[in-house]
Amino acid sequence: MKYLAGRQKRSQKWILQPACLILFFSPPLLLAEESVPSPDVIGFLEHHCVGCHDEEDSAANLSLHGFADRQQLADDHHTVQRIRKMLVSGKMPPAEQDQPSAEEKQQLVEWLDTKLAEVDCRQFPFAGRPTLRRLNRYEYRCSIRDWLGVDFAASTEFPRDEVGHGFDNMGAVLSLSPLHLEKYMLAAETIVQEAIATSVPIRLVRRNRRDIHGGVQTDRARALFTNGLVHMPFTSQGPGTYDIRARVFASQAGDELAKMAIVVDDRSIHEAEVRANSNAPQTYETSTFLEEGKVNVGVRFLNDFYDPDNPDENRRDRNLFVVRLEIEGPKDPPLPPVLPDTHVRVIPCSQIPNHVHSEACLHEVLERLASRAFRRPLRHGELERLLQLALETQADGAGFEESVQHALAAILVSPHFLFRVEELPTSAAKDHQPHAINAYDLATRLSYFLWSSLPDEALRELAQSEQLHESDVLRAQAIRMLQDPRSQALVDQFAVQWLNLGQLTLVTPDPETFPEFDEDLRNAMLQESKLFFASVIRQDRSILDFLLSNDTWVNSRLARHYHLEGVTGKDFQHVVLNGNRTGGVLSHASVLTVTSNPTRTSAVQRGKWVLENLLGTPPVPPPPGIEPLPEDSAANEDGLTLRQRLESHRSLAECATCHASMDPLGFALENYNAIGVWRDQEDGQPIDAIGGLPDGTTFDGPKELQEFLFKKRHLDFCRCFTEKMLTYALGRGLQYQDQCTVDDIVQSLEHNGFRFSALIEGIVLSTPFRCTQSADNS
Amino acid sequence: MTKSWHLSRRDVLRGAGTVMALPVLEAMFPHTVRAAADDSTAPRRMAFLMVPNGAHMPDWTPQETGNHFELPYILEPLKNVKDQLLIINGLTHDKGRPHGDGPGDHARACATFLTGCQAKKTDGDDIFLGVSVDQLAAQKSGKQTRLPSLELGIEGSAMAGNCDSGYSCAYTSNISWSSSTTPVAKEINPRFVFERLFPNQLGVDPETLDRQHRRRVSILDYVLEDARRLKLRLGTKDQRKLEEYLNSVREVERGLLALEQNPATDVDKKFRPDQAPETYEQHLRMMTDLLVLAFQSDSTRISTLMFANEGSSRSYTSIGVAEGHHELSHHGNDPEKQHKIREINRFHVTQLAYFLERLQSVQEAGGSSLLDSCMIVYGSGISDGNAHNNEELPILLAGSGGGSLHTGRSVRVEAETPMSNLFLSLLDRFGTSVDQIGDSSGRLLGLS
Repeated sequence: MKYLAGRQKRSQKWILQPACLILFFSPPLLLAEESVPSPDVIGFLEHHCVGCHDEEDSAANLSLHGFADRQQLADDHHTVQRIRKMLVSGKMPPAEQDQPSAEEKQQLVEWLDTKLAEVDCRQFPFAGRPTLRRLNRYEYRCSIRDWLGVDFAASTEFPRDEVGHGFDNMGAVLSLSPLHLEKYMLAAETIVQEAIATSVPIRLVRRNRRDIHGGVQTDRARALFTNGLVHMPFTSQGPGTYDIRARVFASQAGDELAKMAIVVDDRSIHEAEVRANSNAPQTYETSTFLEEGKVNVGVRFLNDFYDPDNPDENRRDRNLFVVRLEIEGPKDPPLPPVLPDTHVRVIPCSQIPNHVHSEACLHEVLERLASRAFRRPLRHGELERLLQLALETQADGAGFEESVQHALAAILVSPHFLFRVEELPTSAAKDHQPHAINAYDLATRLSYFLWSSLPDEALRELAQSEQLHESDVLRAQAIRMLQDPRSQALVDQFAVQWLNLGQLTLVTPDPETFPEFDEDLRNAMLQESKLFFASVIRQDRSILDFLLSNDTWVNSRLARHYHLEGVTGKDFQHVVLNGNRTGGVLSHASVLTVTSNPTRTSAVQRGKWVLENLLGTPPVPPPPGIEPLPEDSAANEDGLTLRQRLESHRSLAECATCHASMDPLGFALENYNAIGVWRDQEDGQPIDAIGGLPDGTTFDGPKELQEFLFKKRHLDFCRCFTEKMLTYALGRGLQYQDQCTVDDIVQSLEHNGFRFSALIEGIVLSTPFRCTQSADNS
Repeated sequence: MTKSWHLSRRDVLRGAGTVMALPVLEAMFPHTVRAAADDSTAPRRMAFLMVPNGAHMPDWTPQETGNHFELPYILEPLKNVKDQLLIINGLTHDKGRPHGDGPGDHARACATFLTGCQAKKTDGDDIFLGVSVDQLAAQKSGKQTRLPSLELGIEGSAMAGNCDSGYSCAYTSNISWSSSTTPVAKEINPRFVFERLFPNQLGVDPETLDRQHRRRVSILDYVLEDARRLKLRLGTKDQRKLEEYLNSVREVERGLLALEQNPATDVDKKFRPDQAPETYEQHLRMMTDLLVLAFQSDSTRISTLMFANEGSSRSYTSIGVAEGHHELSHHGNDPEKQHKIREINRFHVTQLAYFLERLQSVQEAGGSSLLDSCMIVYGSGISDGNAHNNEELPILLAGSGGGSLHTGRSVRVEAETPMSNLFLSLLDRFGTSVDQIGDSSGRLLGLS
């Protein structure tokens, strides 16, 4: 296609140069109307579309009636895009309707493309502008960790972040309520206490059954079925009195109650009889003096007893169950401080004699803290205000460290830290054109995109020397950052939300149907998908590996689930697959489970998942008043199989279009049950895993589906994946003007073997990522 | 008062059976006299409790209207507080209907539940709704108490995706909105609720508390100035975001000042519910316990509580329902599914009964029960979960609002009466009258 060929040439130039700068040199490209075919657009719509998409009964909320001429339609970019998408995907016109000829369709698509190209970024380059972004919980935690070295559990302390466009880092969606601010205040108080020592702080260490050792792990506790020890290591930060608590319950047998001892190393501190039963675990508490250093704290079961012949089956076995261990201290008056690393890092001048409490030291400390937190050099007056704050606190009786704590707390609650403030270049305020953001803001965009954290020293230096906007530098930084362990953020944040794995913590497979489903399996499922994604980043694999690969990661628990031999232990290992099961996200138990109902699979949900998350063509929700198929019930009075009922459901015209392209994708995955185990039969019947699309494509079973996606739909996948990653990177929903950016990145992916790094490079070098424009023209 | 009133930590945590109940305030603090005791009329309180996915209406709606009515199956657990109920049949939330916006009934129903407004259909940048009834009341009266309002829930926002057919998760996971663009985040962690209600650490010397207070105010002053300066340099969209921040700072500052003027009840931290609830039922009970404490200590007079997010797929295995609630609610008139739905409905009402009975068990200074002073609204913005209709909503009131509501009745309103009319009438009784809320068309008469 000549249109695409021309586009390709331009787009390479686009990607290789700082996009915002070339705007001034490239005059708008006007495509002459005569150069493209002139299909009868309105006639096409009237004939094929307005039957359903008229004003009164605008199906899918789209009316295509009443366009006076082509130009009027062309001006409605959103509608143009929707028409194009449906035509290209073959979803419209519906199969049972009169079909346009291939040529007619082709002509219309080309015309639509031209119209889109006329208005979009080729002519008016587009950067967009994300709304002021508040740090979400994950970003807050990473920022505090990388800046101060304090691990603050933001995900349990702060309210959940709102989700928009599939991700929880969308500036416009993230709100800030008084509740948030209260939490930020309290968090600041906690963090400054940890970061800066004024004395040995009291610490509480709490470990539940998953993080303690010994016994047998059950779904509620660590069980001691014979006399033995459940314990955890603890490092005392200083000599003093520590409270030790154990939350336990017991099952009873014989004449005496279960007995336990709270022990430190091999020393018994406190013995107790455990009356609590499994309905009401109790907490036992004692305290003891500990020296500084490592100890082992635990609970010992003292009087195991077994009475198999007791007529009461609840009185046959005496066992002890440990739900949780806690230790807190030291409780005594604080001792001279042993400075933690964070303290030295925050107040380096504390190491210099005579310099410690000087105003110069305070000045130095606050400037470093604030400029790091605000991710830019300080502005006129900012440091002075902070100094004043600290000095006022000193005047109010605070010591030097406490005054730094106070100023740091103010920094932590400041909007300059909590929000990613990007200033609009003054030149941009008037012309609504894309303009390069300043280098510090670019460093910040980059580090929050790839690390969910603030820029490190290297990025700050490049920002300061104004080199970061250079394409080679930017590219090299992106590559460096992907290889850094902090890029785990992309796994935890992007991958988990893209694959909808947050749902995995919420699903509840029916325990009767799937007795083998437990927490270990749930965790292993999640871990497999995360490790797979991480390997695509770290080894710079092709993103098409998400569609189909021959490898995955399993531990012994998951290997058993997958019927794989020879994997032992809790640690995950890389395995090459050569049986029925292939690699790629569609064979991950995590994905297969979140797209199932509690008792059975759901071909519809799985098909929908593929359309939404792999192909980027989410089906339109069912129209109001249509009964969804009661597919979650195994009971069928009419003697039809689920598949037959689905097919009959599809015979309804209003359902057929979507289901015809959705269900077959799910049918092909029927070899995987509702928790992702391979099966050849269900209820004695062989599995029918043949899926057939409206265009005649058929595939039998997961592998053929994955091969079909890999070979025939890989560009759709690239586009979908690119759109999602770009949305995540920009922190805003994509607009139609972003299409060119997406096109360019998809092309770049194609030219670079679909490598993950090509996607990331394409994004960080793109106009929307490097530029901004005034959003106040509407 | 005998020593036996003092509960040990263990007693508190063990509570009744498997559920740990927080003790009511007198039991925790025999010496505490509620702040409003000098005023013989108890203040009025208002709470809005929302359950998702509608109800099985045949077992919700009483057959009879008037004073003599039988509690249907779902409402049976309320038998001990029947004379405190006012069941209102026939209310409508018109703004929950599509009006051309297509699918997304759950999001719309949840959004309109306390606002009477139609949610702007978006899953992104431009959420727009209206101010909810609780926040209207809080904005007009909240200065009387330390916390203007208390937003509670069991589930946080959904973690991924747009939450309902192109509607933002903001609509399905919040019912309180302080402005058209600002949902008020709800607290789901019992420990944090406790800390908000009882911020004082018992046994800390007054000098330390004073210093802490001064430091906090100083930080707020500092960041307020930061935000004011920053705002001048931002575009209008960003200014709106920063406005949320500024409001929050002012709100927290107001709370701090209120704490100084009207100190919070001293509660020993050992009563703080530290461990996470182990079951859904336990979680709900802890939240309702806390709500009782909040009203009793007069920390706030306005609250909302979401039993689950709208469209919730929670399964209720403790009552033998393994399927997700939402999936089940699309019962397709399958009797087995309808049976399970009504079991879930009844389970929720059982938790409501626990809450109401607890409110009733608390004596106020004037001798009346805490429930007497309350106006509790309970229900869903969807009627039948299968049909997704927004008329004939399952709605009941509990508590007589200090005698301003004639309870012990089941009444029927004219078809298509906006639920917002009920809100207007409640706001009148709360002393915070407004002329209009959402799609209200007038006061709802016949409540007294």
